[in-house]
Amino acid sequence: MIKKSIFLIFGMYFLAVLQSSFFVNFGIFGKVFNLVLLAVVIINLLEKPERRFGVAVAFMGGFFLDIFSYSPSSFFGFYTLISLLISFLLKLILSKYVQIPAIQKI
Amino acid sequence: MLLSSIFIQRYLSSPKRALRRFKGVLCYNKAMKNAVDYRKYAFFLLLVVVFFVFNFTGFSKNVKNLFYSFSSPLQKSLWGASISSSGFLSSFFGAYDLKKENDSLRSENQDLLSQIANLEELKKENETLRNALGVGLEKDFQLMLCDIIGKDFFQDSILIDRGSKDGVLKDLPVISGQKVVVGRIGQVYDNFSEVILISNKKSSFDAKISEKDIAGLVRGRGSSEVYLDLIPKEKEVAVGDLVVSTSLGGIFPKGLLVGTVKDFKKPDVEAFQTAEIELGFDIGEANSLFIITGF
Repeated sequence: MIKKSIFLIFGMYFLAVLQSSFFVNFGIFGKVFNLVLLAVVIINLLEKPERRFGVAVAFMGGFFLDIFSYSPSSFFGFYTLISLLISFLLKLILSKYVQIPAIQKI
Repeated sequence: MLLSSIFIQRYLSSPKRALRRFKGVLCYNKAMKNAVDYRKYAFFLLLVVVFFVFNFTGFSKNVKNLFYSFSSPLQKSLWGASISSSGFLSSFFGAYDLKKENDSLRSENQDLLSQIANLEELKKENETLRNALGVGLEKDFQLMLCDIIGKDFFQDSILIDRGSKDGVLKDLPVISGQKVVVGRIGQVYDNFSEVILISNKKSSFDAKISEKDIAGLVRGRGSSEVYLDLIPKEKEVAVGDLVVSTSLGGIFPKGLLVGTVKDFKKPDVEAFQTAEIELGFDIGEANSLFIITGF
């Protein structure tokens, strides 16, 4: 549990730092991959819908995206709420409408 | 075996009892599910309220400043590494065009050197005349050096390592080392500041095409693109014209290079023409910038 929490916090922190300070200069037609969002979607897809680790990933990922967003007019918490919404929606779809037994092993 | 025999005895012998039990379990599960759903909505609403409070009390500024303080050494080294890597990759993939670009830059350099020689003479003449008339020499700007720490991944704004404790104020102009307009200060923290680049969609300022004295408004389009808007239709714009800032808006000093015209549009249905501008700086190749604290 503690190992998972440490991995979660530091993992999301380093992804957000890498995205805003390193990969931002490697855009394709001016657009950069959102690594944090990618991590949120992949972890929520691979996880069983009843587990909560994906929600925690979404919360921490969104929080660090808010921290390392430098737009002056941005609302602090915007990316956190969006990430949580994506996590909840994915869990709802995977629990009710879609089942992928081969990849739901976590 | 024992459990299955108890199950058969209790439920299959009495279907009504089995149905009642099954309905009871269903109701219990539905109630539990509703409770879990309400808890999710309540958690989400609570977060929205907490973030509203964060934003309106300014607590988020302190949190951001704290994170930037201990992240800035790592971010600065990552930014430097990304500039070197992206420079290497672009030269690797653009090798074919390098010779052509090199030749055109050589001839442009020669033209510029001869222009500088002429301008030096004019500068001396200007100083002599000013002294003779007692007008006083033009002062250079007061500049503060700053380093770039990171760039926003969706919008055209960057973070620099100077803040209110260094005397930085909102809306101060920011330029590159070659005195090209980069942007203006947006949000100011204790030790850091956000710079709104001129290519940001919310950025606009007065400028003109220098040799022809054609006034216009430079607007950002996002993704490092800017254009000159509100150019009168009767004016003749050409590719290669230099665009410089004016002091009309009160943000930038006059005469700072913005970029060069790379294309222009004169639609019949519009009242004005627009010109696409090739920026005079590339934020992906800059490590340091200057804040103009006085002009």
